[in-house]
Amino acid sequence: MKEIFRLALINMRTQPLLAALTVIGSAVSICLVMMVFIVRQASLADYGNEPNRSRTLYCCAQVFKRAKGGTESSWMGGRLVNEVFLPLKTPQAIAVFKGISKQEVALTGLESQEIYVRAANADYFRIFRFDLLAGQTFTPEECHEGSRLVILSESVAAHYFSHPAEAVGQEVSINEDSYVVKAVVRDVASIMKAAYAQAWIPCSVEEDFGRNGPYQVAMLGESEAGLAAIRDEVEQRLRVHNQTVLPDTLDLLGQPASQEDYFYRNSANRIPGLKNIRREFYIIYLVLLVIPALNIASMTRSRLRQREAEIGVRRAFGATRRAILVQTFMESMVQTLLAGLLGLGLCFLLLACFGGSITQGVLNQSMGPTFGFAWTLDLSILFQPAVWLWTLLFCLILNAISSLVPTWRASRCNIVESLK
Amino acid sequence: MSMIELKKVGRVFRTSEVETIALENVNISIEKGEFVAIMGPSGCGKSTLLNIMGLLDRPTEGEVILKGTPTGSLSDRRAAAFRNRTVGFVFQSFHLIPSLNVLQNVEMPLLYCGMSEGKRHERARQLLEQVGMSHRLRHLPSQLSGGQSQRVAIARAMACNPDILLADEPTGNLDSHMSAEIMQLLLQLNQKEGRTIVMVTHNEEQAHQADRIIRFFDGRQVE
Repeated sequence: MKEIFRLALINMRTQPLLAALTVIGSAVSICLVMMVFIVRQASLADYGNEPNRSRTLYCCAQVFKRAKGGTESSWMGGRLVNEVFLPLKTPQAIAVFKGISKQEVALTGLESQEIYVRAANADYFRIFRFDLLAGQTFTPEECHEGSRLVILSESVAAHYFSHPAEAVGQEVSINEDSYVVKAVVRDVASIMKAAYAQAWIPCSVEEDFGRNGPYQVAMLGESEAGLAAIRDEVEQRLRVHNQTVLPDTLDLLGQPASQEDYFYRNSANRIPGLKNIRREFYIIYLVLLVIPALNIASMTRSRLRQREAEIGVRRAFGATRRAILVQTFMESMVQTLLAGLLGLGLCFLLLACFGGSITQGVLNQSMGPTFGFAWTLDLSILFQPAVWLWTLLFCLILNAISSLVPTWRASRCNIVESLK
Repeated sequence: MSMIELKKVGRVFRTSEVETIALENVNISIEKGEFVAIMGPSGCGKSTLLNIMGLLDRPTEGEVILKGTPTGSLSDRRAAAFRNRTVGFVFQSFHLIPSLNVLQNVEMPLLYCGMSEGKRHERARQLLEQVGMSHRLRHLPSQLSGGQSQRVAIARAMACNPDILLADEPTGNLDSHMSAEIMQLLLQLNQKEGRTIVMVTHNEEQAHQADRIIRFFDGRQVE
């Protein structure tokens, strides 16, 4: 095996252009697959500030079906939150929060800046995880009393204060209202659809809380299996609620929904076509992997054609067809392995440099960050051995398939013809 | 028991349009330790005969027996083992692997007989010393002269200590001085080590240094 590995490296050195093209082609493929996969993982899996996605159900849209005909769809209103969701008994926590909105933040004597602010209740900080750098998150009482408190992200705090701890207890103005800084948390990545903001204020501060909207609700189940019970209870409460709006009917458009549904729900009146979205991803993966595989097949054929005489010599001196097959096959594998390492590095580099732009694209919002860097995902997401290994394995299989025919042909070459 | 025995061997090359008889009814018996020269005009089937003797090609009719073993029904694996352990090849154009250095080229056949790395190194060094190439171990074939390349090729052919050495015009690409040196090397291997050597050549002088000359014309043995 060691010898085969050594020979593979020697042969790569002797055909540097072909080897480089093969390795780079596969590396780009692996890199792109990983990037797509990682961004999707970061959007949907239990991760970072949203570690409970798999056992959380979301609701953000509603539709009124009028008895006279026609429908009225909208983002969720406060009445629905109060009458259907907040009284639920099954969830371990019920987070009520609003979408992010751009607001002016300022400190006396300093120019104001636009930041993304989100209003949220106390349970929001139970379901989503924030790394506290100083202070504490809101208590239920503070939310209930409508205290004018704010939690700032690290980059916003750093703009006005030299240290996070220094910010706590200070007053800042948000849209010309005065707020006391309750805590400073580490920046949240913009890909965290529910958790992302640059400042958080208690939901109760909003004058329209409980009446208008739009609101979003996240319900934490005990486990993934326990989500069905939450759905049942919501359905039950919705039936009761619908008695109050007769003869109209309120429908939740397939909600409460999973993280994937919530992530792709960009319109209040449309259930996201998750099957189509998944199919698109599978097509992307397939294209990203199949095109380089075809490239490898032709490269391998070209490489082996150039080495026909060598294969003839090896056969003349005792190499079996199997030995030739194994050797040339292993060369492809070594190249794929190198490509895997290169692809991993490339993926790491690209996400570290352009992750912000990529995640903005994913969120489909123009969320130009005012402070700091929008891509604040913990880079540990890149070190997902399972993702890398699966991608590499898939590449290995595709490369194996694509190099199998030229390799098999080479192993069955006519020795005399090869030596001519 | 003959070292090489060919019984009624024939080889026909067929394409969709034409059929070419390369060898016809060849009967040859070569004893252990013999040095046989094969001569004849170009295209008379000398190299085809050598390829068949070395199991690089298969006859379309007749039988090839090496060391008492009929080779007609050998599997790819057994034929490869025969080529590895019983036969060594020396080609006119050397056929050294350009990406491997001198030592690695000589080690190459040893890879296929499962020898350990240390033993391979030792054996290859010993053979290269024998052919006077121990000072060029790390050189690539492109850095060697024709004579040096052929010495390395002979060392490679001897790697697995084969009983039979098949040389297809081994001096065909060399000048007279180098040719004489290579010829001396082959004679030494025959006389001192008792190797059976079959050499295809156009050179009468070299052929006469062999124990026996077999002449071919139009695929037939004429002498």
